Amino acid sequence: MRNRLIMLLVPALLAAVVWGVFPSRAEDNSLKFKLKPGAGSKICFNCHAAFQETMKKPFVHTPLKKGDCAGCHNPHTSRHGKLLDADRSRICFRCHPDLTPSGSRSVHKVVAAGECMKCHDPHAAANKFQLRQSGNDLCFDCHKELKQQLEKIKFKHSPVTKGCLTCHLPHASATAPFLLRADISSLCTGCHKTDRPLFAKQHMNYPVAGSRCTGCHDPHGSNREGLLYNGVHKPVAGRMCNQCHEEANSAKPLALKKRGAELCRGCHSVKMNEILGKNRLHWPLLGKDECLNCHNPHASKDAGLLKSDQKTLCGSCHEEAIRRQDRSASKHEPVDKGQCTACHNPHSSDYLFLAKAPTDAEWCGSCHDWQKHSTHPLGDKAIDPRNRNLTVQCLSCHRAHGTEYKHLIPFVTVSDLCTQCHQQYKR
Amino acid sequence: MKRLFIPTMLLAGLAAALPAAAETVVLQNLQGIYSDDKEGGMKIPEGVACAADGTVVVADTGNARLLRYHFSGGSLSGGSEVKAPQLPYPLRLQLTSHGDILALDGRLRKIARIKPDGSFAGYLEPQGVPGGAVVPRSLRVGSGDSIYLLDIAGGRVVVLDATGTFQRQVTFPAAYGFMSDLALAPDGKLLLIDSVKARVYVAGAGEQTFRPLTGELHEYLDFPLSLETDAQGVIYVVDQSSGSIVLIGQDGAMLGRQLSRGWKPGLLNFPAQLCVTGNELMVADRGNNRVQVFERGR
Repeated sequence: MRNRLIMLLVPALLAAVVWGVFPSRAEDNSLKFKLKPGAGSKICFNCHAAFQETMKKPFVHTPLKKGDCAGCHNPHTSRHGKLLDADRSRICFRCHPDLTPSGSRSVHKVVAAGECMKCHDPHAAANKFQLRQSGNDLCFDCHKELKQQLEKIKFKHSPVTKGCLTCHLPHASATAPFLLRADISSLCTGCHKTDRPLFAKQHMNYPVAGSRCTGCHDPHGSNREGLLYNGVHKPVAGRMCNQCHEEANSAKPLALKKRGAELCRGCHSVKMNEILGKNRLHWPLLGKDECLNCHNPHASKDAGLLKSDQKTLCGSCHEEAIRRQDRSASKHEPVDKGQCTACHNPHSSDYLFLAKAPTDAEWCGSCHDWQKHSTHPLGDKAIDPRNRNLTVQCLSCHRAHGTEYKHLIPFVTVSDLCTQCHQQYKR
Repeated sequence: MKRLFIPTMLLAGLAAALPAAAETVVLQNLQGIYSDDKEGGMKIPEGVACAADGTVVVADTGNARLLRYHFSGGSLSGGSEVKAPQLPYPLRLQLTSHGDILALDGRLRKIARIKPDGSFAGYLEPQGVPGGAVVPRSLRVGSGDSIYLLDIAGGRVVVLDATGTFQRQVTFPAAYGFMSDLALAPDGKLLLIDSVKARVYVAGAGEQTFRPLTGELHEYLDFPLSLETDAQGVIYVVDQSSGSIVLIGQDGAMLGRQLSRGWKPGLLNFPAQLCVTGNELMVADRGNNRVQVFERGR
């Protein structure tokens, strides 16, 4: 009697536990839609016959495998495409709510946007987890620049060839940036043992085990030995760490010999004097992190040891200028392509907005040579009728970073622009 | 009758309480000043300072000089030139109670003191400031001619007495973008504007560090460059990219946005600094090579 009781009780308890764990995950749409037994999919396949073939693929989404089309689709009506039972950006999270733990340090953009179907086929696929492609091909479908970089470079980091998921997580990382499985230095030192003599020798005996390895090394690969970024600061390339840091055997080997810009000035004194002798300074140069606001001290994949490409770097403070260009009806090539230094001197200048030339005509004319020959009065002798203290310049009619209207003009129509000054033609 | 009386009284009470919180300031253009007293045109004026006695000084930056005007009866007059070789590129200005002009120079990144007679009286040399050199991005003069320096190198506001001796410092908050200007509210609070985060920070009289007064105001501010307050504590933020002045209450609430970008009178083109005197505002309308006077209507 007692044994029979246990035999009944154990499965009942297990069922209760399972029921208790999963209740919110699977919506019982059979009950919701009062479907007849088996009607969840059989009826659907009467019309959607092609799904019989889909289901032959090796990896089938569990609801479909169970014949529960109504798990995701409303059989009658829906406000969402494909008769989905919820918005396509949210429907997956009904059953898979824990993909991005709260407080995650980094989340894959597509996951945050709920674009799960960019990577997964919601019904069935030839790859595990119904992934649309296998291995790195899936990642490279979006990360095309990385693919191109890897095709060209001489030295590839071997884990990259094994698979992106060696170092990265596909959905979110609770503790690390860039979807990494662990913090940068811990991840690297998992394979690259820092206590080996060769490691110490390669790093000039500096205790770099806790440093951010990606400050010097490209984690994917590069054309330089040791996977150093293509642009390397001369002292680093020459293994002269002690030019900036205290000696490797000192009490504080990673400490800098001087503070911030003063350290840079030791070698770049001519450049620094030139910068500081101009009327207008790019103020962050003397701000919190001085030169390191924009430059990496060791190595970089971008020219001039910049922290990132110009559009990203300049846009991190001048976001409104980049946003304006993105919205602009006509594109101004240097802004659009992130060539900010085509027009601005990033350090200092004698002219407003750190311009490279004193007047618009010279400034713009360095690319738009034809504009110097425009028939419209332009230059120092052409007084702007709207303001007697201004002359007509390129920026009297155009805005360099773009406008909502064509030709970078700040008015809806050309006639609106022209009649600003030529008021006699105003209707 | 009773059923009507209570809601009516409630509405009346609410109406009485609202104006103080949501009073709108409207800026009306009174005048534009384009030149000195000899009809020499201004060139990219970056700074403007006002005093209660009607003195208004303009940093005529592109011409490497200061211009002194007098404001009375709703208009500016004068425009005598003050030129000192020690001040080659004046940016921001303040006036002391004695009429001295404190001018931040862009090339030298020093603060020059110009006496009321126009003579150069030396650079401000902060004394006893802890923690390295001061790089001033802006300045304010407070009560007793105390001087507040926005030190971008030290990430702080340094407070000096009238002689330039260190009194105290207030550190920037964590995770700021770039601080471009500071202001003093009538109740003694210090204000900062963060150009990158489009946010105003505040520090009370005894506080050691700033805290946010507003959220990030990217919706209203493209690239705020400077700020000022009036006697009622209304904060005026100069947004250089949109050519507008954004008004913020003492509690951080948005009160509105005035003016827009353009070339004609009443519009602003990359404004740089403003000052408030009485019921009027003077704006260094840098991109239009002029200073504009606005009256505050309510």
